Amino acid sequence: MSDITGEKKSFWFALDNAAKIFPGQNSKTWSNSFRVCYELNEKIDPELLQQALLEVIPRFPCYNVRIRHGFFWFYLETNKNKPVVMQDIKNPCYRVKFNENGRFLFKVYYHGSRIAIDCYHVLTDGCGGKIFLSTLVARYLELKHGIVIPPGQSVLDIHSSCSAAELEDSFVKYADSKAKFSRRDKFVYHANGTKMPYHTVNVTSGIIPFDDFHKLTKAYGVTVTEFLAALMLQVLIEKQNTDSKKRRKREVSIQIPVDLRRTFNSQTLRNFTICMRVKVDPNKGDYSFDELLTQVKYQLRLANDPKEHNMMITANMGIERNPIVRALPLFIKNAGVSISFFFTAEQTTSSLITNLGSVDIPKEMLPYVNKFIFMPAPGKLNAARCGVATCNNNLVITFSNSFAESDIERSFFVRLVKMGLHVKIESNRE
Amino acid sequence: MSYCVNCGVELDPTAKKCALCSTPVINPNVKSEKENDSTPFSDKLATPKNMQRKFVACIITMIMLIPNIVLSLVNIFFFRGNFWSVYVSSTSLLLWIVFVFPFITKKLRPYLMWAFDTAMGIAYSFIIVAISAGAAYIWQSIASLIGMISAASLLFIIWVRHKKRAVSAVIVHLIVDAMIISVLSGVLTSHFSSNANWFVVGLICSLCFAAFLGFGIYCDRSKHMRAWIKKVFYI
Repeated sequence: MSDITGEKKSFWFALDNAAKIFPGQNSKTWSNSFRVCYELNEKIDPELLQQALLEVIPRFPCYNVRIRHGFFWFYLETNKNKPVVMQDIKNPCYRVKFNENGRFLFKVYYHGSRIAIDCYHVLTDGCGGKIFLSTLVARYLELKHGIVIPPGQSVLDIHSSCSAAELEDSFVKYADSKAKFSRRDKFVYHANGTKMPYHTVNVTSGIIPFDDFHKLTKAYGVTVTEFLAALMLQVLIEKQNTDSKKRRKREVSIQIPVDLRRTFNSQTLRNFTICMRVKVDPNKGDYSFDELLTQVKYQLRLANDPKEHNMMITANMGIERNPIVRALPLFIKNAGVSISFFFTAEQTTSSLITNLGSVDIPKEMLPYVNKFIFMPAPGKLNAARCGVATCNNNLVITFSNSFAESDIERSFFVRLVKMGLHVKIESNRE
Repeated sequence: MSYCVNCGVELDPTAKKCALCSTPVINPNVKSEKENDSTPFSDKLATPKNMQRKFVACIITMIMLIPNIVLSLVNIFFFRGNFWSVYVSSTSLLLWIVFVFPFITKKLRPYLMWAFDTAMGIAYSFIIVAISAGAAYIWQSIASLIGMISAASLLFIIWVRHKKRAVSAVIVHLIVDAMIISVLSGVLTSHFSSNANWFVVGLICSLCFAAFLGFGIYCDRSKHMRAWIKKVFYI
């Protein structure tokens, strides 16, 4: 890596271990991206937002980049262009093309009282996106209202320079397990539906008061993620029972990305997550919701261990460190990733739930912020993928669905309503 | 504040129907275009810009033209043994007529394309056979083969343009065409060359197409196979 401290100097760095796979998966119609969005209590001023973005972007040199082809790997290089804010679109997580949008790999949108960032996963994960957006919104609010928002929690000091710890590839730093990890997994159930046309996605958000939801999960003795995963498993198992008349059912599996920053005490602004899976075999019998909660709770807690995490990231690094893989030219690597993704992508997961957790922001920001929305890109096979975030006592569960039907979302939210929760629905469906 | 009577969820004030079950909202608070910002999502759909077809055609033409010019000059000034560069030029011209020419025309004209492609195919085969001084039966076989493919293509164009056809019907039609052409070309080639092996080759090709057709029909009729193909190939 070249000099990273000089703000005006250009520098380059290699993609982190998780990011290496995403350019190969990228297609004309689909990109692995996600959306983070703040809804404020007032209408957005685009000019001030643009000014805030230009002031904030130097603080994040790892996002102020463009992607370049090397002979063996892709790499990221400082982008000399200026990012521009845009009016929001109806289809969030719209595919990323490397030579569009001033070659930036993120897009900043505004609409009504919302500020959103669609971020390509090569740059960072949800946690990095949250920090970037929170810092941007904090600066915007400072410009708009003349207030001072002290840095802290999810907001970074834009006058400080980016540290080496924030730019490090934590996978490389922490992957040192000697244990072996097998990746073999069965192909699992996928809900069927009417595929939406390319470049369209159905987004459905459910807004729930977090206090009430927390009480409910506490009563069951589980975390928010565990509760939602169990609920999703129940919805998918019942959908399979309804849709499929076969005696033998397929396993239902939920993918849950886990942030590794706390586990390894990392400060990186780049990708540092690992994907867990919880699965249930419906052939073993009918599972009640309590039984599903128990399954999810123990499966997740057993796997949620630093040694397990280390084993998994070391296995991922093993592919990257393999001398044969390293020696292959980029186009062969890309073809390999693309073919493998074409045939096996999402085959081992029925759906995805990604919980960003509580978005902590300085108290000076709170009066201006209504909620925070987190949304993963729609899956290719996964019917409805789910992103969760909590801010200002609003728990927002957002489904991105590439199918026209909304039966999974309906089943999910109606169950929450029946449990006594107040759910407000917002959607881009017409 | 409106609630869905079916799902029990609160709906956005601007919603015209429930996003979960499509139950319509009575007297929705529909906003005018100026007030459109109050809806949670934008109405603007992002779609990719189409690349200009003529631009693509020009680039491909340039790429094809450069090696042809270079090879022709090399043939004229350096390696003058025979007209070997005509092979390259005629092949390039054939490929250009078949694949690049349709990009230049504003509207796709199937009959015009068909006429160009047939004429070019016959001319190309004649040049290749004439230059290489191949056996007469090769020219006769190729000419009859081009004639058959051309006739089949013309019938196919007429059939497709007559009324809107399902994709599966088009695929079946193409495979049946391929079966018939395989058998007929085998018969004609074995006739012109007085070699019965060509008929066997044509028959084997035809049987392969028949097996493929059978598999296609099975896939089309089996719900399970349709679902599997849709899932695996992400159609």
